[in-house]
Amino acid sequence: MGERKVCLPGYSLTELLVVIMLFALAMGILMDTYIQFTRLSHKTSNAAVVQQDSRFAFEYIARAVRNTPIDYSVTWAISSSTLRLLPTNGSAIIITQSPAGDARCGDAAAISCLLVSTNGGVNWAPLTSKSVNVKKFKVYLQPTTSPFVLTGSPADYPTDQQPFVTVQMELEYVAARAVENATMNAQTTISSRVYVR
Amino acid sequence: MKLKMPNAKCQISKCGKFGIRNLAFGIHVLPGQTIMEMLLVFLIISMGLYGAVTLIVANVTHQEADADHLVAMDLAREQLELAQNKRDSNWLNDKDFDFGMTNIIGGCTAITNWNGSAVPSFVFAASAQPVNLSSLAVSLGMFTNQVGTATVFSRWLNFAPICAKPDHSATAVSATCACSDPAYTDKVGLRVLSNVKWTRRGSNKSLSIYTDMYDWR
Repeated sequence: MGERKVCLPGYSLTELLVVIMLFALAMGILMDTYIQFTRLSHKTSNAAVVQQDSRFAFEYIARAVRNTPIDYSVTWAISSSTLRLLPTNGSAIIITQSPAGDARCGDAAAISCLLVSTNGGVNWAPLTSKSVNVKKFKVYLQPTTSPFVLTGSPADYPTDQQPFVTVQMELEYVAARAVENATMNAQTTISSRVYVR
Repeated sequence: MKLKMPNAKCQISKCGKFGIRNLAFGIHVLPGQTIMEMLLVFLIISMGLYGAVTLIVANVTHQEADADHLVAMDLAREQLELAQNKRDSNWLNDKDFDFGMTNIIGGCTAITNWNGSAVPSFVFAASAQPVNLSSLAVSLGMFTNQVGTATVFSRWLNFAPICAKPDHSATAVSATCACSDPAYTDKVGLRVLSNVKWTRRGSNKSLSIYTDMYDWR
């Protein structure tokens, strides 16, 4: 019997290196695409949370301002970061921006939330979700004195302007990676439907 | 195809088109891929990547569109609320309910003159005017039609009287600032149309909402 040899020529080193390089390149592109997709997916999800919070907070504030008298027992600046309303039961509704890391938010140290109290500031609850940082909450009120209370002598109303409130709010979802943060800056105005005069 | 092997006994004369060919010397030949096969593979991979990239871009675009729409809706609602506030303030001032809205010099299209401090009013504008982030100290960063940093949004209002027949059996919205139709002579209300326009990625978007206000509470 003759000797039977099996020769498998295989690949040269150059061929292997080229293949490995191409494979690495393809994997790099795929991994980058995957990572980008994951990050954008997270960012979209975070943006949805911010939008939902913005919508909810504006609706809550709008309903409150429409139906509840402005609390003119306190001194109002043209703009502030606190909205005070005074229902007929005497328990003020207060909506305010908390300091960063406020325990009432129950969130991370860097987070400032929107807080609401319906009993004059005794109990508070956050109006915004976890990880949503309130970067700006500004309330513009006009007029700053009640148009429904007679003052002076002879008595007269200080203004003939129906109260209205403009609220501007900038929210940011603070994610673990900064590139996944999502922000939203919105503003609306609500005219009071409380007709006294 | 001819491969030169170091061992003289391991020479191959030719190999098959597909698969492995066993020659008399017992040599196995791995033919590899043709250029067409490689191109096909690249095409399939490219299609997969294109699909993923398209998905990402669409995702981002729709998310931005959602956010823009939400901001635009709030800005549009703001104009309606300011119009409502004007009517309510007119009552307190013992003026006609539509004073400052249908008697604007220039016409019945307007923008809101509201900068966060003075009493708001409406001024004539023939078309949508830019919404800026205010640069005024009193209202820094506020969305306003006053001077400031530009945003993608612009807005304006249209006031149209709601006119009724003398016996109030029917109403119609006037195309002018007054009840000019001889059949509909009594002004009973006001239709306020709020328009917001914006541009994103070269695409023009718009939103319009309206409310009907009457001379009663």
